[in-house]
Amino acid sequence: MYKKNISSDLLRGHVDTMILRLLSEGDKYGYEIVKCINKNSNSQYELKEATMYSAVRRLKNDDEIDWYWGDETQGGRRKYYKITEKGKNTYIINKNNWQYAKDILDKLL
Amino acid sequence: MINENLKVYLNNLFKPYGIFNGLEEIKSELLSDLNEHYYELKARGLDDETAFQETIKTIGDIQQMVDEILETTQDTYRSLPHNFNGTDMKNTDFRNVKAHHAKFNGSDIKNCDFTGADLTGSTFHASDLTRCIFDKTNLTDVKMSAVSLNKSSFVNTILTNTNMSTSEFKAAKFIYSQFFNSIMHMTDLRKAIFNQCTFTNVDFKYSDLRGICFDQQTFNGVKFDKVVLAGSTFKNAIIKGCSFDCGHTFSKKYYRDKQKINFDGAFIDKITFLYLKSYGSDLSNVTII
Repeated sequence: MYKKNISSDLLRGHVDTMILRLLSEGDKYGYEIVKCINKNSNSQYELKEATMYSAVRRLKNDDEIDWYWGDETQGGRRKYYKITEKGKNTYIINKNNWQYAKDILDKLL
Repeated sequence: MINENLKVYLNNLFKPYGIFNGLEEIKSELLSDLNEHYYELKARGLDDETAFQETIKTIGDIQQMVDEILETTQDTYRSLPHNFNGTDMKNTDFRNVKAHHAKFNGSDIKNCDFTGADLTGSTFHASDLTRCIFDKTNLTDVKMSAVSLNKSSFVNTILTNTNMSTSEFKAAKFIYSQFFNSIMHMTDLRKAIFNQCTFTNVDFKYSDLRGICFDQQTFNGVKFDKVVLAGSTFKNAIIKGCSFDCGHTFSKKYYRDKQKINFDGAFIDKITFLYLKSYGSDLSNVTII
C-alpha cells in the first residue's frame, strides 16, 4: 500500500503527458481517458476522475488540447477532447525530457 | 434512479464550494462518467450498493480540481452568494472556503469546521451552530443572530463588525480572538471561555456574562450596559473608556451586580474607575491609568 502511494505521487506528475499521449492516438471523452489509462497500465495506475479533469482543464487552458461535442444520438451528449498541434509538440518535448531524466536516474538510483 | 442518486451525491460533494463558473459543466461531465462506470460494474455482476460505492470511489479529491477550474476561469474564488438556507449541513468540512455573503439561515450546521474560512458578510440567522469550529476564520460583517453556538471554538478568529446578538455561547471558547466593533446584545455567554482576546468598541448590552474570566485581556470602549457580571473577574485586565451603565431601574440589581466583580490588579482609566466606584465595586487593588 505504502509503495503504491509513493509511486502514484510520482506518476501524478506525468498525468498531463499521459493524457496528451492518449489523445495523440485519437479523440476521447473523459471516462474513456480514465479507462484507457487503467487498461494501458494493466490496472496498476488508477487515474481518478478529479485528477483527470484537473489535467484536462489545465491542458485546455494552455491550448494543448481542445474539445467538441460528440454526436451521440442516445443519452447525453459527450464532450470529446482532441490534441492540438501545440499539444503534440509538448508531448514530444515531455517524452524526451522524461527519457533524459530516466537515463540520469537509472545511473544514480 | 441511479442517475438521481449520483446527482444528489455530486451536489452534496460540491456544495461547500459554492457556485462558480464551470460548476455545472464539471458536474455534468462527472455524472455522465460515473453513470457509465456504474453500468459497467453492474454488468460485471456487482449489486447496486457495491456498484454505487465503487463508482463514487473513482471521483477522487475534488479540492484540487475546483482550484484548477477557478484558476483557469479566472473566477473570483467562490464569490457569488451561496444559499444554504434551511439546509441540513451538519458535519460539513468548510475549511478554507471563501464564501462572501453566504446565507446559512435556519439551517442545521452542527459540528461544521470553518477553520481558515473567509465568511465575510455571511448571515447565520436562527441556525444551530453547536460545536462548530471557527478557528482562524474571518467573520467580518457576519451576522450570527439568534443562533446556538454552544461549545463552538473561536481561536484566532477575526470578529470585526460581527453581530452575534441574542445568541447562546454556553461553553464556547474564544482564544486570541479579536473583537472589533462587534455587537453582542443579549447574548448568553455563561461558561464561555475567553483567553488572550482583545475587545475594542464591543457592545455587550443586556448580556449574561456571569462568572466569566476576563483576566489579563484588553477592553477599549466596551459597553457593559445592563450586563450581568456577578462573579466575573477582570484580574490584571486593561479597561479603558468602558461603560457599565446600570440604567434607571427601581431595583438595584445591576448596582449590586457590579460589587461582585473581581478587578484585582486591573488597569482602569479614571472615568471608568469613577463610574465603577459609584456602583460600589471593589477597586482597592486597581491602578488608574
